[in-house]
Amino acid sequence: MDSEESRQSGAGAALEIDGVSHVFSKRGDRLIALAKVSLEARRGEFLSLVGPSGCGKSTLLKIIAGLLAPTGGTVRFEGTIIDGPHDQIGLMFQTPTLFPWRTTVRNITLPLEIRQEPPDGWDERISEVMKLVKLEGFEDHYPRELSGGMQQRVALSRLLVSDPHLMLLDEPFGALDEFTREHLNTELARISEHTNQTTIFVTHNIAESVFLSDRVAVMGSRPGRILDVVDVPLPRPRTPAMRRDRAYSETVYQIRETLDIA
Amino acid sequence: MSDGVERPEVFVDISSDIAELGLADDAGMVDGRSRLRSLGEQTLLTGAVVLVFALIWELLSRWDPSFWPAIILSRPTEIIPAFGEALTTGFVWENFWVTFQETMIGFAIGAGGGFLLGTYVALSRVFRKAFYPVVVLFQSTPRVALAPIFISWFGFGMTSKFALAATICFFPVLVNTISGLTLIDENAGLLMRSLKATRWQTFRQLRLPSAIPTVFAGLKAALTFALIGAIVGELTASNEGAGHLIETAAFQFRMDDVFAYLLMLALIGLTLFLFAQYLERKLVFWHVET
Repeated sequence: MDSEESRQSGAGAALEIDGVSHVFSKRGDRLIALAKVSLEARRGEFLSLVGPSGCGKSTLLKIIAGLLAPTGGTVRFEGTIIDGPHDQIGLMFQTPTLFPWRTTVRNITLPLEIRQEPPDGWDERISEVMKLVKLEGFEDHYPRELSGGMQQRVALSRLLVSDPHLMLLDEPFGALDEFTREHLNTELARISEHTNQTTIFVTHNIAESVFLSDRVAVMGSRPGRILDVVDVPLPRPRTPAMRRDRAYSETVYQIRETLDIA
Repeated sequence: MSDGVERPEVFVDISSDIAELGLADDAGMVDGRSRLRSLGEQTLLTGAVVLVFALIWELLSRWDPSFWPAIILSRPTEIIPAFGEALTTGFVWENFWVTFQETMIGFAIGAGGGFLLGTYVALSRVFRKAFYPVVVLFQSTPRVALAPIFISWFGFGMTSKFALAATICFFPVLVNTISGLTLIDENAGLLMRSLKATRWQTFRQLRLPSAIPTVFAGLKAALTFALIGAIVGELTASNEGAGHLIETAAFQFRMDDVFAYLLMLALIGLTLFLFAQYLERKLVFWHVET
């Protein structure tokens, strides 16, 4: 964290990543995970980071979440420099990371409990979120009684319940089979159009990034950097049929080309 | 979470082995009826194995009595009446009651102390680094060798026995508590950090519950160890307890009694273990064996 000049930012940008670098050093070896990455996300935008493993996309996500201090550059969220976890930023991982000793509802209420929010409005918020994510009827199930896809729905509900301004999703459906993944992507598109939160979605699956996003930042590795930022010319709301759309295929093709040349 | 310090070995849960022995009821994910049937079959099979073993033992001792003298190895047909007699003798029960008390007091002190110290060590980073090498050192010392020292410190009575039991069962609980509280799921830790959870919240909501299965594995090992500690203490020097009975009987070449007492001890050990397992099922109902 070097520059501290203006804490207010330009209009429209919810998230400003400005020249962020990160170097891991281990026993004298230096690995440049991120080299001067700059990127902005507009308020309410769905932005994907797509790239091969080792391109630093998960590292960048941790830096945005305030869980990792970058070795260079700054991240501003709603005008404030990120220097630690932020109340308005929520995280979701590739693994559901549910607490196996808690039921669905109790897993979802975890953020509310940790933040010691007054429990008056909990019930409404929980039932609202569970309806949105289609988890009704599974309130008292334990994680081990749910399929992988259902577990990720619970994880998504836990993220949505605290209503963060920025959602960071780190390959949330990466461990699921293709059909479940497609289905959950359709669901995620619907949910994100409903909540209209700013979302950063990390994936190595080009097709899924195109289907979900307003823009896709294509990343390359060694060192981790942004190769291109691609606009997705698909209208909202997104529907499964758009996966057969010409514009969809062309965008996928364009991103693949960028990745192949790099 | 590498500290650059070698970790002592964690005591693993042996209940999956027990399940294979047919003593547990959930060896597999089967429906209630076939589980019951397979439990019956397993019990039957175990009984058959024991019976065949006893039969061979009996036949061999009768076939060549000079090779299998009764003062070295009694026959099953001698041990069973001796076992029945031991069960109906108040004097025997009094001595086993002494051993049981030594075991339980030793377990309570040792396991309780191991858990408390383990929690403290796990939560204090500096202390953990300083403490681990000491644990490793003690871990590799055969602690039953402390028996003569404890006898000379605490005398012939029960105190030296539960002190030894406590010392032996302290370590598995300590080691497993430390490792259970330290090795938590990385993403779960990140989740708690991103929610700005306090140290206490992270301990109460994440570390402690995820440590319980590991702690329980340590507790189960400790329970068996406590019994070993009490018996070794009694064998070293005592005037009461199961170990004392065994030593006296062996000294007088009453091998049938020795084996009867051993059988009683085995059954006590098994009962304690099954009780711990039952408690574990109730407490750690959500845990899935990996």
